[in-house]
Amino acid sequence: MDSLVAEINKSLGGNDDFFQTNQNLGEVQVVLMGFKSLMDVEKTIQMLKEKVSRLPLNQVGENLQDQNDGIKGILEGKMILSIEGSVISVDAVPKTLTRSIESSTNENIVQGPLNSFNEDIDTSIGMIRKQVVSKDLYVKSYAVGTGPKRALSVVYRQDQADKEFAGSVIRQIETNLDTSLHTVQDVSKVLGLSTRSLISPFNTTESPQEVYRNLEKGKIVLFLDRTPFALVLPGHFQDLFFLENDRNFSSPIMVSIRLLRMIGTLLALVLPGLYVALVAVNPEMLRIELALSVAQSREGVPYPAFVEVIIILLILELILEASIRLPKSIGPTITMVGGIILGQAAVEARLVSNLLIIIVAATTIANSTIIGFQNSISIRIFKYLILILSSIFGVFGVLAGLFLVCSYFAGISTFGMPYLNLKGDGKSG
Amino acid sequence: MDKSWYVVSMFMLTHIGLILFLYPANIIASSTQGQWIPIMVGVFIHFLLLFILLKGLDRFPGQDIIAIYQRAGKLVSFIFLFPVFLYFFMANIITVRAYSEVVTIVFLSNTPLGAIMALLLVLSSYLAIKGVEAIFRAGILLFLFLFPLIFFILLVSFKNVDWHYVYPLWNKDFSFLTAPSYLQSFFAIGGVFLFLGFIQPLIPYQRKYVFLAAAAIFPVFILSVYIPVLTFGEATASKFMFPFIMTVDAINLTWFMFDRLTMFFYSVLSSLSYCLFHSYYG
Repeated sequence: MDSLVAEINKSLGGNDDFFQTNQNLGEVQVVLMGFKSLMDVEKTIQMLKEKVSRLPLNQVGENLQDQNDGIKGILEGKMILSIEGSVISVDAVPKTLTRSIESSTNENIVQGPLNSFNEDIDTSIGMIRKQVVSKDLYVKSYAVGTGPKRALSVVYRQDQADKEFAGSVIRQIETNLDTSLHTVQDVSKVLGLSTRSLISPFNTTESPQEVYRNLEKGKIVLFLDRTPFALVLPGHFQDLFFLENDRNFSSPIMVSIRLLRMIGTLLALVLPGLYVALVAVNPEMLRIELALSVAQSREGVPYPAFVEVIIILLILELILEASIRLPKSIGPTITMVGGIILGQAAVEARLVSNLLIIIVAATTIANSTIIGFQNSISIRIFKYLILILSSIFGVFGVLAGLFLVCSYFAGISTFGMPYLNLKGDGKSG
Repeated sequence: MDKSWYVVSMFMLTHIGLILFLYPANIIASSTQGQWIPIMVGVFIHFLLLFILLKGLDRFPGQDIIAIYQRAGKLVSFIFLFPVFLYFFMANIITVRAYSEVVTIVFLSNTPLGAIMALLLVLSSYLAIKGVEAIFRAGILLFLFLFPLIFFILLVSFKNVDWHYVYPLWNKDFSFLTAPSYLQSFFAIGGVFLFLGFIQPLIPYQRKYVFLAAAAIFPVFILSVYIPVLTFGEATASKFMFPFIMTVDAINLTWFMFDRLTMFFYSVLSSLSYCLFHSYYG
């Protein structure tokens, strides 16, 4: 068995956070091995001593035969004991390497439960167990990956979810167990879904409250280890507007909030296109007074409305992206520089019209009402399709663009469940 | 799962689109007074045909029309299905042209007709690629989106109405029954519902909802003809190529920021419903 210790030493001994010490446990001399970075060594030895006083030595942990098992155990944060003749792996006292439960960072919740999932998959699933106290909550975990394995858990309510759907999701995962898995894109690959769709097949959420509701509706929730949000499958069109937390308000308020989000989505899609259409192609649609004031605000702007809009939208997208990249302390500066100074200066220099600044600001604000960051990005992209069509076909192009977007939504389905399911959660044939 | 809701919205959108667009001119041309009589006759035939179609389909649950006829042999299916094919074929060609002409008249006077026709064809083919169910799902979304607009247009179109034009109510002359323009009016009401025969195994629906939808669009038949007549009088209305569009265009809402919005709403609604119709049959 010394050979096993030697083997482990050979492959991991070069790491500076690897330790190997001799220790007296009761009467016996043992060799302890593991990673200092993954465990609290002092506490683990303390715990071992305590265990040894109660149990025979070979029962404190799992007996190992294979050197690979030993290495794998060490990498997973276990402590390996080598006593003459046998090698035992023991669960160590882990170092706290994950955040504690905090309030969500990507979704703000007003008047609702604040806790959110974190990177540790067990913590996240535990939060769901707390939320859904039911024997029907079913959790199945897989280790997926080619080299290093990554945990992927499937959670659903056995009494609510469609058996066929759950079965096909699980089958997909089981057939693709040796796909490398690190990101949400990889999850799509494991599930055999397209990664090229503009609309994510998942609805992502950080809040256990949302997951609770989704589970109740029979959806399947996936957790990827080291990813602090739940992936709800399948995503639906309603996820753009409907938030479970809305139900913490009275129903008229709920309805108006949701209506507001729908109007926001529509405006975010249509406004820039409508501006181009009304200014450049169909000015006669406007009441004459309005048309004149629009024309006046564009006086001196040297290029066509389409170019004008594209330039300003590009700057705006850059501001949005930059404010994500920058440290929190400098972020507001960018907003200030970009929004106020640049916008004002562009108008003063007659590079863009006053009205356009208003339109673009309204578009961005409207875009932010959409639930979920990935959804709001999709809408941001669709806006350009409508913009291009409207610069060619005017107001008619705006509606043609809307028609195309509707068709795109209508064509998406995941595991046979249509994305655009406006009535109930039925499975399509 | 029952998908009557899909069928209802599709039925209403396609019918309303065609009725508001082509129907009034034909009816107004076919009879000089008491237009409700030809309309009622048309509606009666509409319901009768619908009833016969649905009754017939009921006898073959879970089959579409093609499968039903194929059981009767090649010749029979050719005799019965070829006219249907011809109807769809012609309807597609005619409506593409007609709708793009309206779009040109209404707001794109400098755009070549071909570009608009190309856009319409691209839109409908794109949706058609996505499959039958996608068409119906898009139909629901558009229905929810457009229904308020349709309702609004029908409401404000009463603005310039002069009720005296209703008279004379009765018309002894039934010659409209053989007038070519009256027969043409069946283009809008006599064949659109044929899609009901083709969707059976994929999209199951209940018959009664189809009749409810048909009843719901009944007022549209009357309004589409009577609003132009009541606004302009029969003599003037008969001169227009698209009487309903002219009527809506004549409306001037002082509190509205758009000058011709009603018109734009209207053309858009008909073009979109056309796209749905076209993607299904094209």
